[in-house]
Amino acid sequence: MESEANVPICKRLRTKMYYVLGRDHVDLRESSPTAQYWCSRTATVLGPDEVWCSPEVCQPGRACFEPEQS
Amino acid sequence: MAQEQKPPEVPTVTYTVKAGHASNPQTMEVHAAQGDLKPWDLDSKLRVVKGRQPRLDGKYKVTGRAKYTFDISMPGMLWGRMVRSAVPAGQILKIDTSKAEALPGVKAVWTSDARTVRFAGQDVAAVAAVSPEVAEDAARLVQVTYDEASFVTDLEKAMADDAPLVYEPDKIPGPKDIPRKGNVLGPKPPGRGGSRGDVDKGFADAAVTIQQTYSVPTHTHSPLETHGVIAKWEGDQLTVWASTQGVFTVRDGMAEALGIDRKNVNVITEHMGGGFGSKLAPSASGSAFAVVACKLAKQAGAPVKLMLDRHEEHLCTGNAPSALMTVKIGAARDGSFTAVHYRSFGSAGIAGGAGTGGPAGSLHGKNPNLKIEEHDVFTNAGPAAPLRAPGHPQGAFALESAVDEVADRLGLDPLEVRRKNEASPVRLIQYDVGAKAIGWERRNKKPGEGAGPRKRGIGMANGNWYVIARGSGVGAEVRIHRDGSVEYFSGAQDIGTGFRTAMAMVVAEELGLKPTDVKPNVGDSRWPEGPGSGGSNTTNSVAPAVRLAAHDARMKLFALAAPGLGAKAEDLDAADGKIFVAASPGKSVAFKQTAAKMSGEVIAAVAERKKQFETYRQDLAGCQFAEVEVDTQTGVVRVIKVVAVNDCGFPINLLTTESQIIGAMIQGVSWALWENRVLDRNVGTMVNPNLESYKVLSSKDMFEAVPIVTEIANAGNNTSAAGIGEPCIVPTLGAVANAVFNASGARVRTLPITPDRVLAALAEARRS
Amino acid sequence: MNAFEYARAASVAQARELVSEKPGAVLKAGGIDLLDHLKERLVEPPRVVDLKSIPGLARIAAAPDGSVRIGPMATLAQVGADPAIRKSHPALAQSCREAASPQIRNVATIGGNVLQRPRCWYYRLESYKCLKKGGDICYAVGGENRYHVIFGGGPSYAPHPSNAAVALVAYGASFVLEGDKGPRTVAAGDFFTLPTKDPQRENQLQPGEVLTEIRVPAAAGWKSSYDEIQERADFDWPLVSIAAAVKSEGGTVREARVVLGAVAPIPWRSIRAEQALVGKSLDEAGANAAARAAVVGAAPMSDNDYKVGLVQTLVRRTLLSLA
Repeated sequence: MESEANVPICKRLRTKMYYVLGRDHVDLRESSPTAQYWCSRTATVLGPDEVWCSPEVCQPGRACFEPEQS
Repeated sequence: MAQEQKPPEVPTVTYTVKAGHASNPQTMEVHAAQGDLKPWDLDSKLRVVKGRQPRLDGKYKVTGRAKYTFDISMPGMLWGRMVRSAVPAGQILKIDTSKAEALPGVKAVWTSDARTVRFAGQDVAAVAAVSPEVAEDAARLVQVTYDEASFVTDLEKAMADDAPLVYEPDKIPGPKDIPRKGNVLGPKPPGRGGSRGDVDKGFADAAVTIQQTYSVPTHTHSPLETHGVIAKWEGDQLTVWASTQGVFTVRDGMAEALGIDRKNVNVITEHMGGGFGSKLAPSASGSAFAVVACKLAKQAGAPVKLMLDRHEEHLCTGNAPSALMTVKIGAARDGSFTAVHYRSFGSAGIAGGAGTGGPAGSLHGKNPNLKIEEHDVFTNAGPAAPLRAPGHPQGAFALESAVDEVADRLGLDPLEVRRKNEASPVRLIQYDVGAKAIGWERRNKKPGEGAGPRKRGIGMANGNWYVIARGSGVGAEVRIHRDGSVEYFSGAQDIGTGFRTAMAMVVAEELGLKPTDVKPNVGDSRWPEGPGSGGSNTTNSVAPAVRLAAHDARMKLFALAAPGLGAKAEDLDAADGKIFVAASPGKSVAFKQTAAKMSGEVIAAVAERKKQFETYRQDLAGCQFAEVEVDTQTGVVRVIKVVAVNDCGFPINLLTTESQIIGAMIQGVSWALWENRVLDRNVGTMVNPNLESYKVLSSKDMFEAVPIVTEIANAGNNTSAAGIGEPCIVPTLGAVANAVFNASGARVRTLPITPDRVLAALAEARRS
Repeated sequence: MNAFEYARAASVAQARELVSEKPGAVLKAGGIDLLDHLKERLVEPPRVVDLKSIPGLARIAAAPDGSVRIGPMATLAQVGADPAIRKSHPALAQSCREAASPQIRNVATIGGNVLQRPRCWYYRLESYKCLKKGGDICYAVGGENRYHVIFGGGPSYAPHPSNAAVALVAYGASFVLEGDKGPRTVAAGDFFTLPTKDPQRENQLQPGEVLTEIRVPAAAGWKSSYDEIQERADFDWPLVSIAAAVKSEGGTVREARVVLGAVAPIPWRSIRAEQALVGKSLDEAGANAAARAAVVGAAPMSDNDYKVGLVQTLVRRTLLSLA
């Protein structure tokens, strides 16, 4: 199932595939079953709000969310 | 595993390729981006590639001259040391660094802004001092006051309704599309797992159905070189020497976390002492130590070296998730599967990504009905990190144990059951190769039938992986100097696989030289960009760019040689240090002599990786066969022999490819028999954060390791290379467990297979 | 580790003096156990006194009567390879050869091995303030106790780590301890002490005393063997170990020694197993009877009842190997 195509995801979200296959990888849009996510602000798996990161939770509504520059 | 987004359409050129395995060649057309080369295939006459080349840096490694991050030292350098949370859950009320700051020799102190502790080992504070001893003393003087909270570290306990919550539900909105209950997230929406058909119907059609639950504990990567960096500022320019699998990940990560321009950051990884996936993040999954080192260095105005110790390495740098996996298989009398339902709960600690369904989604492709459900369970433990085929060794252990249980129930040869359900032509070849190499016919027809208390047996299991290759954003440069010397540049890191040697072989192949004629330059973010080493992608992402650059340099050199040989450049070939007319090899000129003709000092050829071609197969097949001896009175298992048969596309360097396979077998056997991160159930801290009681295979436990590469002209890129680092660990755990069963009749469903579990399983087998 | 002063002793007397003049100072033999303690800050001595510089402490001397005197600084490798000991006291040589790894055996001394502190994972980590470190609980109780004791536990449940000690107890060896009042000799069987006496100690070595010699009486007429069960083939601590010795006459056991390791806070002599053997022949029935007797009174913890079965297997197998 494709996640909603245009749900903005925080520009700070990172995961392995971002650097392995590139920033357009599907893992940046929906959770990989086997990958961990980190925040490029904190450089760990916890965001600045001390909660875990993933495409599903690093979305608008989270206090630390940062949109992609348009 | 999903692939890259569809690349933009580019003009292509069509090549006809003889692909697949030599015993069953397939002619296929591939559409390469214009300017890319025809892939090496079954008809290619390769002189260097696919040979066995000892590592170019081997002598430096064995004589200690190779400088790892751990070995680097510089004048004025300070030593950093982290302070980590001593409790698994709670709030930090106070971090008092005054005593540490007052200690003579302390030059910088950092404290975390975070106040919630979710696992024991989390970053709290750090110091930098003039010596490692002073840094250690200072770190001990940092006083942290906690308001401790209840915690849960055990996977099954964390699934209970009344378990303490690792994340309070009101903290952030629950993830969309993923059910969340307490600490449990999942199942994730189908679509990425490979579910198909109708399992209810499939089970209704089954002649026999088995359902069993298997479990594996958390396993830590335990690389010999711990995580660490040296950070040095010169004005705005930051240089970081890092023990990393991703030079460019660290570069970008430091820039983003510090809020500086990435062009001002340079990252160097000349030699790397192992990562196995744990070093793919800018620092580590559970620690921002590298960022902290940069901050300490800035604050102190001096370079800071911050290497984690072994204790920290176990706590906060990642691990392979624990998992509880229930496998239900329905089968017809002949062993054909009618349905597979795979359900797993895994814990990646405070992170997600503990799925183990990959093998179920890929193996036994003839089974029409498949349902995969994966769940993440949060626990108050250090976050996982990718570990050599993330989730796959665990999943293959469960799935392939269950397949053997089906075979046992049906009274069928487990290998025959796999053949019945096999969709991969490559694995069908591998079954024959592996069975012959282990002597499959020697296995016990009835498990445990051998005489005496020490019983031998043979088992096998399958594994899967994927062709993962980066088709853009990867470059390489090859330089031929006027004196005839050749070097290449790739920013990508050699994580110990032999990448630097393999790339030199590609250059040597194109230029008609020996690999030892080519000077490698790898692991520096000033050089052409490379990918993070994840997904077994480094060689097959970078080698095609290296080949393109080398080919460009070759054609430039041929243009210099052509007039003297009275031929056109495109009619020339190169081998053994000579350039010659392909049709009449007698007409030749020495490589060095030709290089001397260049007008400047260097021919520099830079190339970019072009898009991936259609690939012979998107999966990488593998299977392994293990022979073990089980002492049925003590429960002690000794592995005698393991045969690994794996597809890796074309191996660029057969020697280091085999070395990776042997390494994977060792790591897999170690996982199956010993490795186990133990967190105290009452205190929530790790009781074995060392390499004494966190047991890895010892030298005397070493078995006969037989690596067999089934070369596949995979045609996915101009070298036909795919990957090997990860696939070859996927089958090992299951193969060992199945061999233990064949030897003794003990079906051990919980790893590691320790004497107590073997004895308990034997007792259970006797009862039934 | 803390910063400390390092002193090389020229004699046992000087070593004792160097230790006694600095409260908290410690002795170092091979250093294997001490370094672990220093690195984890289990001890923070102001001074480390090295015994390696004392001449003659590593001597192994076999007497014509078959007895052996072993200097405590002899390495495990030396004891394990000594031709006389291998012949006269094979279980002792075996226990040394099976210990740890070749690298460690080349450095670790037999004195240090016998006197080393327990390998309990709680004890070995600074963060657990356990009974053995002056705390008030044994974390193994209700905790991670798969490697802990099944005999003689309480209030601490850490197993004794020395396997050479298991063999020495079986041979009726004795230790010469040099203290303020001169040397005293203590039988190995009396030397090790249960945690009921003092959970912070495993033996009766007094502060300031130095182990200067291990005396192993002749074992003529005895057949003996050492064996162990461990998870890894090497570089591992046994789950259970055993040193067994029997003296038989006309196929009947007259005397027996069965000492178990890794199952109790001290080398655990199983008088019951010995009694079960005396007067029997060393056959399957006799060995089984001894094996059953060996586990009478076993009190496994939550995660280590498997050790009860392992003890029986090891007793049976080792005794049958002596038949």
